[in-house]
Amino acid sequence: MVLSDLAPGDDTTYRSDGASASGYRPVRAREYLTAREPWSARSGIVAAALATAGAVVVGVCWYGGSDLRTAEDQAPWLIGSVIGTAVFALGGVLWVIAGFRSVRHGMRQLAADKREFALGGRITGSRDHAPASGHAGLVIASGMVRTHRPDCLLVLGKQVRAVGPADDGLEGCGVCLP
Amino acid sequence: MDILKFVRTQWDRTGAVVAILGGLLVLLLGWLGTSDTKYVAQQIPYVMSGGLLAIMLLTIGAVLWLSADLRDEWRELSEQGEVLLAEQEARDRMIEERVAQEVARQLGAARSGVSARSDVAVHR
Repeated sequence: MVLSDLAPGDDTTYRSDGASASGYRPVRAREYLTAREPWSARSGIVAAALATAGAVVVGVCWYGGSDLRTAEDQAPWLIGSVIGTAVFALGGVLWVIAGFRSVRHGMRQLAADKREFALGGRITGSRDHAPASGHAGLVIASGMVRTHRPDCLLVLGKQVRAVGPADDGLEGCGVCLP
Repeated sequence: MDILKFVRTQWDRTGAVVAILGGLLVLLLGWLGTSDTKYVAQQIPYVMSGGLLAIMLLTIGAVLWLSADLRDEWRELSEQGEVLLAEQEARDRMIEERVAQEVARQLGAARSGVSARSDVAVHR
């Protein structure tokens, strides 16, 4: 496993393209428009696996070493628990690095897109997770005075209905920014 | 904003604060447990359960807080991208309108030219 496997847009590179107005365009789809979070599922699995393995090792070593009476007997268990802690922390570090890499690639992609747009080129992207303009895709729950995206934290687990013409004039949620 | 809503919307930062406070508490408890012991063999279990657990909790707190910041950055990127696409759509619409106006103008000019020629023909 290498670090470049962890983030969704890690292997995004920029190449010269004659058809592009700015001369450069991302080879891969624009992750910042399509992905909900800067982490891929794989980076989550790798981080969670390392953290879980580290925590288990620490737990086992604590259990194994706590009943022993001499420091010499406990030393191997202590070393094991330190290694477990390091593995646990490694999972967190990989998670953060994957996020930073994705955000950095997203910034590069956005900068390239802005350059492309300023030079009159076209940006091909889809807003898979974004609602269409107007009310389409937005929801509201009873008693609410703001519209929300379906995945907004403020409507999770609530009985919601689609926003319709009767809800014209309602403001958008300040959290999900529909 | 009430506290429950804040916790739900900022769950990662709330978790980070809880984990960091928990880590500091565990560190303190570990120190309290080990400070009165005379033998290293009695101190090592506190190091493993208190010290290392505290390090793990502090790691969780740091990762959660950094993740929250990265999510904010990602959301900002996404919003800027959507603004860019909206501007592109507006530009496309404007170009289409201008093309349609130009076509209509040229068609109108062509029709008036035919009409003028017809008039000329009639008068001749």
